[in-house]
Amino acid sequence: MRKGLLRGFLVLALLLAMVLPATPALAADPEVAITVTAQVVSMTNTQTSFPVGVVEAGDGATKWGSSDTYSTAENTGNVDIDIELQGTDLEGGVYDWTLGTTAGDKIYSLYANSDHSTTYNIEIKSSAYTDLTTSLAATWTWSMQFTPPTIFDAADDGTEKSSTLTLVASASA
Amino acid sequence: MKRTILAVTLSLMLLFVGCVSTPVVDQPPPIVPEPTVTEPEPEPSPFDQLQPNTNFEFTHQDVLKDTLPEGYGIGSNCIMVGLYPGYYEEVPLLLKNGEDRERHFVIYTVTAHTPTVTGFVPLPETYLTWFTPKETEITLGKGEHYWMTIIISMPEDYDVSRIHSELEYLHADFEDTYAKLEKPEGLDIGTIGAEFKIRVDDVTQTGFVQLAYTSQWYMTTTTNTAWIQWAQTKLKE
Repeated sequence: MRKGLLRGFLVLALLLAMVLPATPALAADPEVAITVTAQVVSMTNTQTSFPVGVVEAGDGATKWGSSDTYSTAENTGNVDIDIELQGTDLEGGVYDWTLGTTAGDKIYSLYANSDHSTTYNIEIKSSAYTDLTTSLAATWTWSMQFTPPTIFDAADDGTEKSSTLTLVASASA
Repeated sequence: MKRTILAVTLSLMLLFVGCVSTPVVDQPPPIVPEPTVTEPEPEPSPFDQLQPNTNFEFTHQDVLKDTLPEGYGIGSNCIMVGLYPGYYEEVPLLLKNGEDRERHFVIYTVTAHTPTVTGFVPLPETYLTWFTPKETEITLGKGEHYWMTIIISMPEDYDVSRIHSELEYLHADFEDTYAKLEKPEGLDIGTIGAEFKIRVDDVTQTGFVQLAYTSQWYMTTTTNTAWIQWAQTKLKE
């Protein structure tokens, strides 16, 4: 009887040893990463100057460079941006030249075009902002056209004048 | 007796065999944890210092960890809900200089000439004094950043009906927009929304074409006196 029980026990032990697997090592818990990104507005622009050279009263419009030279604005922030333009009067010499819609007596005009358009229809103003482009994610090309005054005082002959064009960027709504 | 001992010994040996040498075909190899890398303590967020405020929601929260090779950048949008008489808050706004050179900045408030959100109107310049930069000029070295402070303050004795009489409000577009904003409890729909900007110029720029950045801000007010009293009480808590 005892021998029979012992043999049965041995057989059972053998069978269990063959069937039961080895205890596996515990897997590491997965990690969850949460990333928070700040929104920052930043950009660059390839052109910083627009040398017009010597002009005479009533001269026609001068484009940026000798032909349609384009400037490229690039979004270097991490949020889409809207870009607006704002100009200033031309200062220097005896009389300043006012930035206006149409060239006139001591009034000059400045217009931009956008994304390789051949039409310069974006009026640049000193008293307000003008939209150049909206929801810009990467790059945007643009150019400008300058028209000198139709009349200006001889006291300003030979004097250099300068102005500033500001590209103002803000996050797109 | 010998057989009993032998049988017990054999049984014990067989029981331990599976734990040591049984190959497990379907089990993946044990995962070796990667060595622990101690990362530097993150810079505390200036927003941690703000009192819990049910009245405004700020859309940018943390210090930008990426570098700017050139130029500079500023934090973007702020959505503010429920400005009322006596309201005061100092809100941080990020200014980050590029790696290329030192810059000197000028900070000021301007109105939005074109609303970006339907139903909001440009904030008249008269009211820009409610939002003032604590610092109007800052110089930053290469790669430095700075948390500017924008002070929001509506005079305690201000009669909000004055701005409501000046600005368009309670039209369908504004209601639709305002319905999507997270509003304080009980804020009446009788409200106006206005936009303005915080502008930062780098005055060390040269050349004809120069760059500037603006941070877009939004505000609303209400003539609901019950809500105003509730909000003023909450502010003092």
